[in-house]
Amino acid sequence: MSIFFDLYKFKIKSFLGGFRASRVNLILVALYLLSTLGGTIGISMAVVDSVKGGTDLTVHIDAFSVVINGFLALILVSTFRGIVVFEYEQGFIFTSSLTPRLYLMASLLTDLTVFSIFFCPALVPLAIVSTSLMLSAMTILSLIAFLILFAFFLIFLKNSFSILQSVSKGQLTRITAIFLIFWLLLPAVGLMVPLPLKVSELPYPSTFLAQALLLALYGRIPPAHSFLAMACYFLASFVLFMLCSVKNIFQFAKPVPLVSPFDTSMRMQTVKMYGNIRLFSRVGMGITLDLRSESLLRFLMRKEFIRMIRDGSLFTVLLFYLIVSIMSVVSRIGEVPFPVWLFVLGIYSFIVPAMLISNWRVSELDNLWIPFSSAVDLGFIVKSLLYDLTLTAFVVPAATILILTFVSQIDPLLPLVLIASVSLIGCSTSLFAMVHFLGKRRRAVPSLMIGWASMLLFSLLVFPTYAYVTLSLLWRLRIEINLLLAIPILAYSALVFKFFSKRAQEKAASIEI
Amino acid sequence: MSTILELRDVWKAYEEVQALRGLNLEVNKAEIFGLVGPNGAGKTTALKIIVGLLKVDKGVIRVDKYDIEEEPYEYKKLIGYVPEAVSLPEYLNLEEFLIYSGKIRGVSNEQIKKRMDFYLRTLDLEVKRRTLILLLSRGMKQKAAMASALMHDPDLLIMDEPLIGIDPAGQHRIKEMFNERIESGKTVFLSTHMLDTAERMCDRVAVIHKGKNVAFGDLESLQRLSETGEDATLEEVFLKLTEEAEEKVPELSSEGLPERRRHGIFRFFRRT
Repeated sequence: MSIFFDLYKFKIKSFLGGFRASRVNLILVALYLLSTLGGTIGISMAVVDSVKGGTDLTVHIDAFSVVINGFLALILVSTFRGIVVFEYEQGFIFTSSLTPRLYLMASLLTDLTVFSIFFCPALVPLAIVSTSLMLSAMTILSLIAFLILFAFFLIFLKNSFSILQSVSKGQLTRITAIFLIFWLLLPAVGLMVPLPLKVSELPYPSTFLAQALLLALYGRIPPAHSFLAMACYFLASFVLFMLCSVKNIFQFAKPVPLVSPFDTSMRMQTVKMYGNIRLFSRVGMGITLDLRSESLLRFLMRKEFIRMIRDGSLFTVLLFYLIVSIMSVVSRIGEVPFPVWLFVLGIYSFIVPAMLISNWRVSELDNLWIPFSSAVDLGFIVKSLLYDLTLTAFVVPAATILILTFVSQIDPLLPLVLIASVSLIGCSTSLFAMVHFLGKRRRAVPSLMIGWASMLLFSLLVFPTYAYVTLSLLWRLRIEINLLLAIPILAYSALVFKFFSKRAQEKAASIEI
Repeated sequence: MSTILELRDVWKAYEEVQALRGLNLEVNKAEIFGLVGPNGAGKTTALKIIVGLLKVDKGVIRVDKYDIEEEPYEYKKLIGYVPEAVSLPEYLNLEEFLIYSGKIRGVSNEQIKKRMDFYLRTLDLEVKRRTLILLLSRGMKQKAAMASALMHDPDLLIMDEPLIGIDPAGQHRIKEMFNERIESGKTVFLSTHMLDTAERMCDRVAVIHKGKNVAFGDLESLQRLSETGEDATLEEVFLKLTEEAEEKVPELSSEGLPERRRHGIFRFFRRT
């Protein structure tokens, strides 16, 4: 047993090795918390307001189950890679006398620990909702029990299918997984086209969880048969895992470099970026870099756009604004008076420029010798990058807002001014800070530190915009006054953009790499 | 014979190291010139200065008619560069990368297409044309970098350790390519510590040690200079010359180091 705990401790230490390497890596945790807490707090506020406003959210069990089913389907898709292990494990642990089952058990406990760390921000909405709605201890406990059963079910299922994918030679496992994915996603059709059966009437694990969560909002405990069904799913996945774990996975595991999620070092960020490129290039090869663009500026912008697709930057931006959209729709259903989604839009539009610049640095820092040894003006490269980042930081949320204008009947003026101003100021200041740290002597500075520094500078400069939006909401200003005030705000943002764009271009000409 | 590259009394210091201490070089047109020296001799620093990745502290560098300090962009049309540790945009496929290389060097679309096809074929990369760079082997990336450096058909090809990581067949093809370039009046300037490579490929070499010239010329003149005899290999000559230089050159001191620059938030706002 001591080997088991030693292995577990070792795996956890390796996984969280980033903290041991540098305290700077705590910044990544702060950024993760800032981005997830923004969304979770926003959602919980909207939910609390809806429940207090007398809206019956239990009628949305079907929709909620479909979302959880989508998550389950994603987990099953992730098992197609089979059992993935870190290279050091294959080299040192698999060559020892340790049994595969013991290794798997330690991995499982590690997965559970990591799962708990990543999902700890979920405790915040739970706390907000339970205190705001004054839920009883019994309700909260039953909810937690449900969540724990579901988490274990997920982890056992994921590991079992990964083992089966690795070990089985035939296509049977894959076909079974595809069938399950199809079965899980099928109820989504019911949201658009009426089906004879509702999701809430089918015994999906997601249905039981959705029921438990939504009933808890009204202080009700889920029925006993739901508990029993969830426990059955948990037991079935556990038995499947125990059966699978007798297989010798050591011969089938796929080695990957050790990736610690909270390591901000350039080397680790690059490894993670390569993982992203492997994943996203599969969907991003439709748009290619060809000889069609006649102007160099357009060509370079296209290249940056392709990078953003293939390294996953664009996906992250889309995900951020999808959350904003969901919140806007939830607010509308719940008839929430406070525009929670605008609050989250403010937070995300603040993070996006720094995130985009940081990703560029990770992808391109070592490739700078290519433009630097060519005859192209470096200021030109910086300019094309800035235009591209600003467009991305503006166009994606602008499109989201325009869609929401029709779907949720929101007033688009304030959010559009907010994102236009924040994109202009955020991208130019972030790029300036990044160029400042491009030089040889500052190369070792982690991207996140640079992101943090640029966000500090950015927060000072963007203050008038946030003040304008906040005051406009508080005083419920008329549209004419809003429009009038928006002009100086946008003019100011354009000035800041011009100033930092010029400074970044000047700086680029003087750096050594 | 006219000169394509000239370095006169070139000095360069990093924070703690004086990398170059008055380096002088002259590279003629239509020759393969090798820069050889032990680890830390300043070879890569010299190359990086020539291609504009580093700034020179003191000295003059001319590429053809251009002083690189005075005309920092124009002269780059004449050079192609392949670094030692090749890092490429991993998210592009090989074809996209070569298009990108050609575009930023101002090559016309027809020429990009023609040269891309030629180098992909010559360097045996045709089947990898649409493969992501991330998925290429190290040797293939090295060849891709070489093709990229040749997309604008530069007069002076500068390469840092050009054959490392490339298989023997690839090395053979590259040597043939170098010879073809020399025949068409182009120049190859390479740095290496693989002395057999330098001996077999280069018309002339410069031996440098601790940032200074030790010797300069073809193998025969170096044999004479080092008094190692007619049958001595470049390796023997090199060892003799660098040993002698070791005795002559004093240990590195902090003399000539640039003033330590100011760090912190105030520097952040300082005009460049």
